[in-house]
Amino acid sequence: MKEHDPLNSVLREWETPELSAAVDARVRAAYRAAHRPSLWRRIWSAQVTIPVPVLAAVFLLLLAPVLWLQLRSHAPAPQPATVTPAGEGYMTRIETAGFQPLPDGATRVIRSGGVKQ
Amino acid sequence: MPDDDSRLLEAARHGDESSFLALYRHYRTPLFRFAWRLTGSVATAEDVLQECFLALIEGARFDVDRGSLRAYLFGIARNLALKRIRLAERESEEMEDAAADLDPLENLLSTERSEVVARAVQALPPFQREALILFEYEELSLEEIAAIVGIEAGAVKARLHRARETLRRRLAPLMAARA
Repeated sequence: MKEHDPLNSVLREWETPELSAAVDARVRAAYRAAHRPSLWRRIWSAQVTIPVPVLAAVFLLLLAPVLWLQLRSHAPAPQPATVTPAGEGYMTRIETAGFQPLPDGATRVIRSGGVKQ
Repeated sequence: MPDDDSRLLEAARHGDESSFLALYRHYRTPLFRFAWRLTGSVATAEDVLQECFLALIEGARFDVDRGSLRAYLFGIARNLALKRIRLAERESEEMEDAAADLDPLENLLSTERSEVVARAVQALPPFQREALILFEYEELSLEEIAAIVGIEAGAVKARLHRARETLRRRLAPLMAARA
């Protein structure tokens, strides 16, 4: 049907216009509008860039309270005062818990063998 | 290529823009050319091109076992273009009558040869015109055209023959000038 037919070469003279780049942009925009991802998908795939020093500072701020609590729980409890005499063989322990000074500082002498009211 | 087309289409339908653009870049020019030659309007051909790809992406039924994506896209473009032609033009008989007034020799003196050929082809009845454009300019096979148009390959061949005979008559002065 096509060989050696002068009509074919005449038909080839029909030139077509160029497709404008604006159409490409329109088609691409239409595709994006039709395939806009859901809100959850956008949130799930979102990315944030953080500088390393900022990340380190945030990490330390989060870690500081934990370290502080950890150190506090391992601090030594206060021990009662002890007196160690120079001699060997025994040790006297003096506890000051519950000690109260006399209210007026008056002294009473109690003789041995009897108690005076 | 059909396997590639299917893969790209599937990915494009799932939101892969690069796959969509690969398909678009491959078929945009032939589809635009076809729509422009059918409608004679750049703006209409651009609209047809855009709608054609959106129809494809938004779930138009394409079955790779029933034909190539190329034929399928040309089919969508054809339907969209014909819808616009029906809106814009009168019946084909009137167009043929108008074509009888064409004087290729006169046109040859005043307009470019390309314009003469364009007017001669666009004056063909729509079914002959689309068969001729798909066969001569887009180089589709008779079977592909038959699948697009929805008729037998033999009927496509008959339409092509009538179109060529009409053009041979109308473009005879142009062909003589070339010889």
